[in-house]
Amino acid sequence: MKKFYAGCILMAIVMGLAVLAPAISPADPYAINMDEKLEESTWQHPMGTDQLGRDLLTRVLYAARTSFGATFAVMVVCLVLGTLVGCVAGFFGGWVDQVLMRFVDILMAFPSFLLPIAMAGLLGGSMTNLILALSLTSWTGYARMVRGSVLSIKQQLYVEVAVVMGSRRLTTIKNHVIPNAIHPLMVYAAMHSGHTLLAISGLSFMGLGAQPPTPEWGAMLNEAMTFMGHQPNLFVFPGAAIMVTVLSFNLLGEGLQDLMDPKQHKEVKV
Amino acid sequence: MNPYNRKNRFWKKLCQLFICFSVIFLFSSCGDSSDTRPGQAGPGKKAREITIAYGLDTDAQSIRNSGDMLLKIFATQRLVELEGTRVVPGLAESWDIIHNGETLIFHLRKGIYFSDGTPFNAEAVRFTFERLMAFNSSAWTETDRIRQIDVMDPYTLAFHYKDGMAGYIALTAFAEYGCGILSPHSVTPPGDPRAAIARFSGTGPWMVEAYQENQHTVFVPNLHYQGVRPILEKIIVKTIPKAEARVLAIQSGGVDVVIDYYHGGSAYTPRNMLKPLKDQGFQILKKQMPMTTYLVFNYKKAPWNRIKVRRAFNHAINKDDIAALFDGWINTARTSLFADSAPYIKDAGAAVIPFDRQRAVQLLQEANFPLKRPMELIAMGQNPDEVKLCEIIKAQLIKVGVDVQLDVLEPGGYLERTTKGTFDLRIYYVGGPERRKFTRMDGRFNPEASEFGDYGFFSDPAITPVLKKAVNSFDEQERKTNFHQFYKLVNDLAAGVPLYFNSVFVVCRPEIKGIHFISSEPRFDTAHWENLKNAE
Amino acid sequence: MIELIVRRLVSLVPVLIAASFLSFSIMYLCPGDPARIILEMELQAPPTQRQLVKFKAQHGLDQPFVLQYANWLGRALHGDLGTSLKTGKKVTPVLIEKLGHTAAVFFPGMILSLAIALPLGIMAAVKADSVLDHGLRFTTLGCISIPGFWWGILLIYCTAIRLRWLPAFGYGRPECYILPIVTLGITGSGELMRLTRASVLEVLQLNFVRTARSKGLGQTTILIRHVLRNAFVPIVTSIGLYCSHLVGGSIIIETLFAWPGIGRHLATAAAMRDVPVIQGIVFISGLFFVLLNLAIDLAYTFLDPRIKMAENKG
Repeated sequence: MKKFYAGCILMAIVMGLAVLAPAISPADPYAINMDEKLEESTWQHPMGTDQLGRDLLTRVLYAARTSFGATFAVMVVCLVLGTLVGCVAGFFGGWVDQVLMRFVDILMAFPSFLLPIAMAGLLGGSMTNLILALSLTSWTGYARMVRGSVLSIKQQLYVEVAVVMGSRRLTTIKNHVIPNAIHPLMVYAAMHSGHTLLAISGLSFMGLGAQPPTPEWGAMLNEAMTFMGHQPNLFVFPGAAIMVTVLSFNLLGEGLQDLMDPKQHKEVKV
Repeated sequence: MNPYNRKNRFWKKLCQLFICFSVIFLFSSCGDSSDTRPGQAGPGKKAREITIAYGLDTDAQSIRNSGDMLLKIFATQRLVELEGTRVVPGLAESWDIIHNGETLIFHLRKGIYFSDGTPFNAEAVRFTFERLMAFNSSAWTETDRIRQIDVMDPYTLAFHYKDGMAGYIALTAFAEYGCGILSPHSVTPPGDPRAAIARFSGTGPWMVEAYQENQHTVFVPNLHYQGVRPILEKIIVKTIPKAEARVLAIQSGGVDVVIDYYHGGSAYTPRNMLKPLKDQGFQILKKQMPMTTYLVFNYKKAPWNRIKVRRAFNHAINKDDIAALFDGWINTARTSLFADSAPYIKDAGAAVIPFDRQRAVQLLQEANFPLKRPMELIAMGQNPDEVKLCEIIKAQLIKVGVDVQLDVLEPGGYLERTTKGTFDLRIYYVGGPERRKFTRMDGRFNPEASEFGDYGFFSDPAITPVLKKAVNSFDEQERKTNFHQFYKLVNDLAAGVPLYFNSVFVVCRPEIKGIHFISSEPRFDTAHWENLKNAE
Repeated sequence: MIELIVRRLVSLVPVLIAASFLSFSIMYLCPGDPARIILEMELQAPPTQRQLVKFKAQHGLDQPFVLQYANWLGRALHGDLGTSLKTGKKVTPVLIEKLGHTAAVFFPGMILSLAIALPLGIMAAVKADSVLDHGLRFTTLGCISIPGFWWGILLIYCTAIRLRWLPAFGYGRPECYILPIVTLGITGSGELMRLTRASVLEVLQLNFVRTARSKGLGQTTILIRHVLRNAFVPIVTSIGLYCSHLVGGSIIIETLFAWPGIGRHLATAAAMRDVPVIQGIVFISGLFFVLLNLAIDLAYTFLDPRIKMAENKG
C-alpha cells in the first residue's frame, strides 16, 4: 500500500512539474546568454547555468517533458503492438501462434540495448528514430503477457460457452481478456517505462537521441562531461532528475504489484 | 501491523530519501575547482619522457595509408618545405622547373639515413610516391597530378605531370603532410608499394619504438637524424578519441600534454575548455593558422544561389557571441577573411561584411526569402565546439526571422548529407595549416580539384580562373595579384560567412618547457621538464 | 534428457537463421550507400565511379542480396565474419580481442555485484520486515533507478578529479580497470539483491524450514544447510541471464570509460557505417544470447528436481 501511495505521489509531482514547466521555469530553456555561462547556483539561477548561459533548472524541467513524452510514446506503441500480436497469437493458435512466437523469440534473441543502438546509429540520431528503435525492440514482453492471458482465458469454461453461444471474438476480448490481463499489464507497463526512460537517457547520452538544443537529461549529462571538474552542477541535477523519475515509475509498478499479489516477495522480471 | 507503525515507517523512508539527496548536494557544493590544480607529477613519471593525448590513431602500421599527420611530422621529412609563400629546400637541396612545370627535377641531399639505417635516395622517394599513388591517397598530396616518376640517378629524380596539371601548386604539394619520405624497408617485402607498413621508418627527429593500434604510439629519438637530437628520451602518444576525455585525462594526471589534430578542423581541444584549464594552472600555447571557419551555404540550391540572401546572412551573424563562446581564445573574422598567415592577404584589402541585423532583415525581405520550411543546419557531433557554435548561430538566425533546424550527425551521416546535398547550412573550414596554404584554397574553390568533391566550399565561374592562375603561376607577382583579386571576389560574392580564425592549441603541465611551433605545428624536439632533476 | 537437449536445439535453428538474417539485413536499414560513405571517409574526397566499382567487387557488395546473405552465412559458420570496410582487417580476430577486453571488466564486475548483493539480500530476508530490511529495500530500489552511467560519472568525479586516486580513462595499467569494474558491480547489484532477498524469503517460509526449526536446529545451520542451497537456484539462473548480456550489455559504460570493448566497437562501427562489423557483432550477440538462454533453461530443469526432493524430505 505504502509503495503505491509513495509512487503515486512522486509520479504526480514529477508529472506536475513537467506539465507546468513553462509556467514555473525562471527562464527560457533556449535563451543563450554568453555573459552568464557556467555560473554557480544563485537566486536568479537556482541550479546555475550551462556553457551557453542557459538556466539549468529550466532545462531540467523542460527535459522532463521530452523524456515523459518519449517514454509514453514508446509505452503506447508497445502496448498497442504487443496487445495486437498477443491477441492474434492467442486466439488463432496453431501455426499463426507458432510463427508469431518464433518472431518474438527472434527479437528477444538480442540483448536489450544492442538493436536500438545499431538501428539508431544507422538511421541517425533523433528522438523519433530513438522512439522507433526502442518500441520495435521491446514490444515483445507485452505480447507474451497478453498471449498468456488469452490462453488462460481460452481454457476457462465460460468463455467456451460464450463462444458456443455465438458472441464474437472482439466482444470476448473486451469482456474477458482485457480485465484479466489488465493488472499484470499495468505492472509490466510501469516497470517497462522505468527501463525505457533509462534507455532513452542512455542512448541520448551517447548522442543517439535528442538533438541539441532540445533539453534532455541524458544529453545534458553528455554535455556535462566536458565541464566535470569545473561545474559539477551540470551532471548532478539532471542525473538526480533521472533517478527520481525512474524511482517513481518503479515505486508505482511495485505498488501495483503489491496491491494485486498479497505474497510480498515475487518481483517482476522485465 | 498497527497504523502507528505504518506511519512511522513512511516517515522513516521519507527521511532516508532526504538524506540521500543531501549527500548528493553535499558532493556538488564541495568547494570549487581551485582544488584541482595540476599538483606534482603523476606516479611513475620519469623526467625524460612525456605523455601526449591525441585524438586520432597514428596509424603506424597502416595497411592502405602512410600514417597520420602527427606521425609524419614526428618521424619524417619532406623534399621541400613551405615558408610563407616560398618553397625552401628540405630533403631536396635544389630543383629544376622544366617547361613551365611539366617536369620537376629534384636533386636530393646526400649522406642522410633513415631510422632503420638504410640510406635516403631517389629510390626511397619513388617508393613513397608510388605507394601514395597506388592507394589513391590523392586528397592530401596532389599525387593525382603526377603522370610518371623517373629515377635519373641515385640522387636525382624527375616528376612528369599530366596535361594541365602542372603548376606552382604541384611544387608546393611536396611540402604536404602526406609527402613525408618513407623508407622502402618500412614494408614487407621491402620496396613493394602495395604492402602494409610493418616498421615505420623515416628521417625525422623521432622514430616509432612501439605501436598499439588505437591505443598508443611510443616515440624515441632517431639516432640517424641529421639535426639536433631531442632532449626527451621518450614520447608516448595516447590515442583518446573523445575531446572531453582528453581534457579529463590531463586534469587527472593521466597525460602531460594535449594537442590538437595537426591538420586542424577536427579532433581538437574544445575551445571553451581552455579558460577552465588555464585557471587550473595548465599552460595554454596557441598558434593561429591561416584557416578560417565559415558558415557555408548549399550554394547549388535555391535560395543560396542568390547573392542578396548570402549577404543578408552575413549581416545576421554577430561574431561577438562566438568570441564569448571561446572565452576570447579565438579571434573572430571581423576585419579580414583569413588570418595574417594566409597567402598574400596582408595588403589584399579584403574587407568583411559587418554585423547589421536590420540590414539583414531588410535584405531578406527584398529577396522574398522563403520562410515556409526551416533551414537545415548540420553539425558534426564529434566536434563539441561545432555543436555549440551551431546552437548560437541558430539562436541568432531566429532573431532575424529565419527558422533553423539543427541536426547533429556522426561522421557517416554527415558525409551522406553533404554528398547528397540535403542540407542548407553547415560549418566548414577554408584554408589550412601553412603547409596546405595553396592546396587547400584550391581544394575548396576549384571544382576541378579532387579534394573539391561534389561541393567543396563554394564555386563560381568568376572565381575559378582567377584562383587557378593564383596557385599555378610560377611568377610571384602574378600569384600575388591574382590572390588579391580572389579574396576580393570571395568577399563580394559573399561565398560564406567567415566566423573565426582557427588556431592550434597545446595544453600542457606548467613544468614542461620548450614546446615550440614551426608554422602551426607543435614540435617537441626541445621539450623538457623543468625543476624535476631528481624525479623518478 | 539428451532427447530434450536435441529437441530444443532443433527448435532453435529457425530462430538462429532468422536472427542471422535480421543481423545481415541491418545493412539495408541505413539510408545511403555504405560503400560510398566508407570510401569517401577514407579518401577524404568523393570516390570516382571506378574506385567505387573496385571497392564493391573487393567486398562482394555488387551481388544480389540473397547471394550475399548466403555467402555471408556460409563464411560466418566457419568463423569468418568478413572484412572491416574501414580498416581492412578481418572482423573476427578484432571481435575476439574486444570481447576479451569486455570480459576483463564484465566478470569481475559480476563477482563484485554478487559480493555486494548476496550478503545484503540474505540479511534482508532473514531480518524481514525490520528497519534494516526496509532500509535496504528502499536503498536498492533507489539504486536500480539510477542509470549506470551516472554511477560512472559520479565515481569518476569523486575518485579521478577530486581525489586524484585513479585515472579517469584509458586502458592498460591495472588502475584503469578499477572504475569500470566498480561501476558495473554497483549497477548490477541492485537487481541481484532484490532477487536474493525474494528467493531466500520464499524458501524460509516453506514447510521444511519450519520443521527444521521445530526440531531445534540453530538459525545458522538451517540457513547454510537447507535454505541457501535451494534459494540459490533462481540466483544461478539470474547470473546466467546476466552473462548473456556480455556482448553489448555494457555499451554505455564502455563509451563512458573509453574502454576498448565490444560494445564501444559496435557504437563506433554504427557511426562509421562499417557494416560487416555491425553485422558480425549483432550476429554473435544473438547467437550467444540464445545459446546461453538454452543452457540456463536446461540447467534449471536439471536443478529443479532437487527442490522437489528437498520439499518432500521436509
